[in-house]
Amino acid sequence: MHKATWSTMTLVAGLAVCALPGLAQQAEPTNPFQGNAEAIEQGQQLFRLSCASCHGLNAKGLRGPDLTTGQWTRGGTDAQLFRVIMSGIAGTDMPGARNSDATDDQGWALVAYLRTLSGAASTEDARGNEQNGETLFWGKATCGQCHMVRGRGGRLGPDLSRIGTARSRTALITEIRTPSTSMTPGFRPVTLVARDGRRTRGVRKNEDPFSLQVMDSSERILSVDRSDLREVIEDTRSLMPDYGAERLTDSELDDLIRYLRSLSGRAG
Amino acid sequence: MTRSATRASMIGVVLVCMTTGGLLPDVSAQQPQNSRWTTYSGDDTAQRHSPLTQITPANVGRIAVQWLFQTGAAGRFEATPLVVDGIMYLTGPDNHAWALDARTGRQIWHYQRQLPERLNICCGRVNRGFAMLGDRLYMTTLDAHLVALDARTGNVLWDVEIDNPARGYTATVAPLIVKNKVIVGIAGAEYGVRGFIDAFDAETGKKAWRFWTVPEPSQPGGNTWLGDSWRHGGGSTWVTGAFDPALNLVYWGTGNPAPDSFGDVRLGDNLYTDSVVALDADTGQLRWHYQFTPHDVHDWDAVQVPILADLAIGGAQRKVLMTANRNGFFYTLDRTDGTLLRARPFVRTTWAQEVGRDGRPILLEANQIGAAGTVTCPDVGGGTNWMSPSFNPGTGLFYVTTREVCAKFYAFPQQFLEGHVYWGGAVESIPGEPGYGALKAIDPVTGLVRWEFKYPKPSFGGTLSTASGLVFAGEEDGNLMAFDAASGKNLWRLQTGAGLRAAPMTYMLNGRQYVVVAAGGTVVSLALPEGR
Repeated sequence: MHKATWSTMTLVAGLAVCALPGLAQQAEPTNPFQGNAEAIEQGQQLFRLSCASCHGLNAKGLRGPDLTTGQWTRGGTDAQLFRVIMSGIAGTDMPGARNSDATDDQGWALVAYLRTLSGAASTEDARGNEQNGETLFWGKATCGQCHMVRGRGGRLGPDLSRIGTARSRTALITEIRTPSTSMTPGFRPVTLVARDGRRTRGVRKNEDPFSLQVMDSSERILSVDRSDLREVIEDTRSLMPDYGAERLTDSELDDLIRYLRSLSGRAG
Repeated sequence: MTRSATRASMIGVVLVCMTTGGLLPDVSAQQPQNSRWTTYSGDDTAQRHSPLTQITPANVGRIAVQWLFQTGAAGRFEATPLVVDGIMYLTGPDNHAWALDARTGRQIWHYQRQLPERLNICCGRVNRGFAMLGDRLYMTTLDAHLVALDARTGNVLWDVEIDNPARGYTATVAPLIVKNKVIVGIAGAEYGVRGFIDAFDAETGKKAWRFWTVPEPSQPGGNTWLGDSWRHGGGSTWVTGAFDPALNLVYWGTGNPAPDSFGDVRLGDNLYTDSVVALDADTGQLRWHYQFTPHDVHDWDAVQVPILADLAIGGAQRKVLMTANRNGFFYTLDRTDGTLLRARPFVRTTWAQEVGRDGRPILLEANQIGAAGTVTCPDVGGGTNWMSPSFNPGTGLFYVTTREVCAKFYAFPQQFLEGHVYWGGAVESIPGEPGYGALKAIDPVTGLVRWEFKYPKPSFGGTLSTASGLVFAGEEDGNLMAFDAASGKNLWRLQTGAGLRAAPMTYMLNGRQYVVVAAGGTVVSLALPEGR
């Protein structure tokens, strides 16, 4: 069949659940396939097809978080995992599988498979000092010039208020050390060359064959027709510099990531 | 009521009444006052090329929206509407269907099939449109039925099961009318179904013939499957084919073998998957086949619309079949016997460098996939896909929306379980390489790309060619566009607000040429301003 679709079709996971207080009294549904070998096998196949591109083939996390630690940021009951898989997480890259025609059985099969992966809690996230990380974020590392957290900071980069639920530690290391290898849609850099040769650098919010919507380095939003430009250079380097060891030591990186992993979108 | 409103509604009544009486009278010798679009690809040749010439390269810049029909249906539209005698017949997601006044966009009736709770659908709850014969409409359903509707009311006349949906069968194809038969294909290769093409009697719904796209071991081609793998061998048939009445042959593309990626369980060429088959229209007997991707492991269905034309090649007039394949190659075949005349890549292909004289691709290392993963171009979506191409006999060019994307393919062993996805692999996108798209004009005699117009994103919008020298095409960022068919110059565009996944069509009504496409959940109708 046409998997134009499978590549965009996203049955699944990225795990964090909003526990709804009002529902707490109701009996939570349980997984009809818990421990069912057939369902686990099916869940693995679904995972490879629809989750692996963000969470990694081994579920250890790529752009999406590591799903093997047994630690679920927003609740780890079967019902909570199922809800996240089926409905997604608003404001993150995690889509709801229901929008891609996934059935409840498929959602539960994925939960059954994920349960087989949960090992000992990772000790990775225990590294570093959160408070030092926060100081670095707003100070020496200048992250806040381009990134916003809970309403404070810049606009040129993605808002990081809930980055802790959306990225694994491994993904964050890559995105900080070598940001050009993993640029987020909506933040890809572009240089517009006007007919008179003037250059404007910014990030592409959107585009089509005829126009571009760009935020320039002064955070102004521009609407530009391609026909008015001499050239549109799609930069391969992110506007964010590489934070190599000379800018950020391994220890400082641990601190910064500890802080970023604490950002869950909740007040505080 | 204003005078103009009265007049408009009277014309509407006349139009509706005329559906019982046939064509409206033609008043123009040059162009018909009214014309029809009666089948998915416009006619049996599947050229999606209209003889209409009211909208031209010189005036297309002035076309404007005439009406919008908001279907209210959620999901993707991949259907081409039909227009017959002033009435438009359209299908949508979840087996919604509508009849509209083609002049005003006002609804005449709405139909929706009651679908079961549980369906095995790999790739969207879509439908590609009606077929029509006389005053009957034919639609396939997501639960693998074929229904016949009364064109004037939308009432169900008959309803037959094509095959068992619990086994993974589903149907999204627009049927093709061939004489007194309704030809349909099936979907479900991702669930390990065994594919086929069916013909039903248009009057009664009785099965006339079935051609299995995956043969049994005792049949010709049966030795191209390992063991029992043919039982779940895929080869679905989910896009409409073409028909040559002179040769009495139905041409239809077939889909990927199953499981998609883990090929070791089905060693062999896996006939007749990823092929075009030529079937006797009366019996369904196979006359010839051509396999584009033997033993495919990339899910490169060959269901793309096959286009028929007569071309001068090497000093001789040849009856050809042309297709731009998901595997990234463009093919020109002799449609009388399947002889390969030309094959050339139209996008970057790293799995095969060329097609040999024996008609088989000359494979490269990147064709091999396993548990470690291999980066291959094109990606799983392919160099093109279900989006309709078109062909203009005047320019001699084939117009197709293409995708330049690569992906990392994995293969893993997997047990077959009925009713479950049977893929045996995974696909990862390449970080930082989202790819791009383009409308390309290909010369089918040489296989060379004559011109192209680039899109920022890989796209799935179809095309429409007109005799005035225009190509209409849609792209992923929502633009419906018109191009000069000879030069590729962009002449007009409309931002429709939703990525186009369907193909445009055109018709004349009361002396005006309309161009219509479904974008998002909205049907958009365009024409030149009235009275000019």
